Amino acid sequence: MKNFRLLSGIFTVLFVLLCYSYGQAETLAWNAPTTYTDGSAIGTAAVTYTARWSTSLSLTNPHTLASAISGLSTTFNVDTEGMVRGSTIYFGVYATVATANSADGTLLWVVSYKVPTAPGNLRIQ
Amino acid sequence: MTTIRQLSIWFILIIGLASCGGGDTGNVPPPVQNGDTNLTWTPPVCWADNTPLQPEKDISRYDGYIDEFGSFDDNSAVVFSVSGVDNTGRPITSFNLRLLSAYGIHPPYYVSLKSVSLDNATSKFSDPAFCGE
Repeated sequence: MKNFRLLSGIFTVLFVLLCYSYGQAETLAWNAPTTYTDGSAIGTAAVTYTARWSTSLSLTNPHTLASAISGLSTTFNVDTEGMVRGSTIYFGVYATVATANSADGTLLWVVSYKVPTAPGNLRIQ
Repeated sequence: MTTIRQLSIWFILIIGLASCGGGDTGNVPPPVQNGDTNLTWTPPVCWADNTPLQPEKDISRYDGYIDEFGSFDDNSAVVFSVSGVDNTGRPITSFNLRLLSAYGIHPPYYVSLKSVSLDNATSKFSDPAFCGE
């Protein structure tokens, strides 16, 4: 039985704020793992990802953002998810190959505040 | 004008105090000398995610930026700051740019504003307006 515990060290999670949509949705993105913990290549094996968030570093009582998806990102809405603006939350994403799960790639995030739009119709009279 | 970029003057306008000192009961505003200098704007009514915003409750202030070429970016410094509401709680929608002359800032220049929420989140730059000589 091959060791399917994925190498968490290279399973990094990158967080990308969609600055251009400016607050409508945020995107959690991550890099795909390429090797198993024994150093062998994952190759063409199917990998799925589960993304969660929690107010605790240990990801207790996590809220699931996406489950068993094959893509390398997921979008979410802060308000719909019930994230408290200005608070610190923790994301965790783990990969699954067959029935084996990797350790979580984690990311700390201070939940962004709502951003106002600019004043309009500037005139000098 | 090159000194304008170097100026980072926090010019806090207490519009309520200004309004208390008027005493002008006429219908005709005083004539503007040396060109128009009253900057006006429309307060934002929505957040960037398109949810409704109440300027009298959600906007803390407007930060003003001045640039002779109208090119505003992350390196632009705040030149003046205007409260979001007056002393009656109504949104403020104007600012007399002539007040900046006390700091050596004279037309011609472009001016742009950013909305700042109570949480200190700032909007993008507004479309600029040109203040001529």
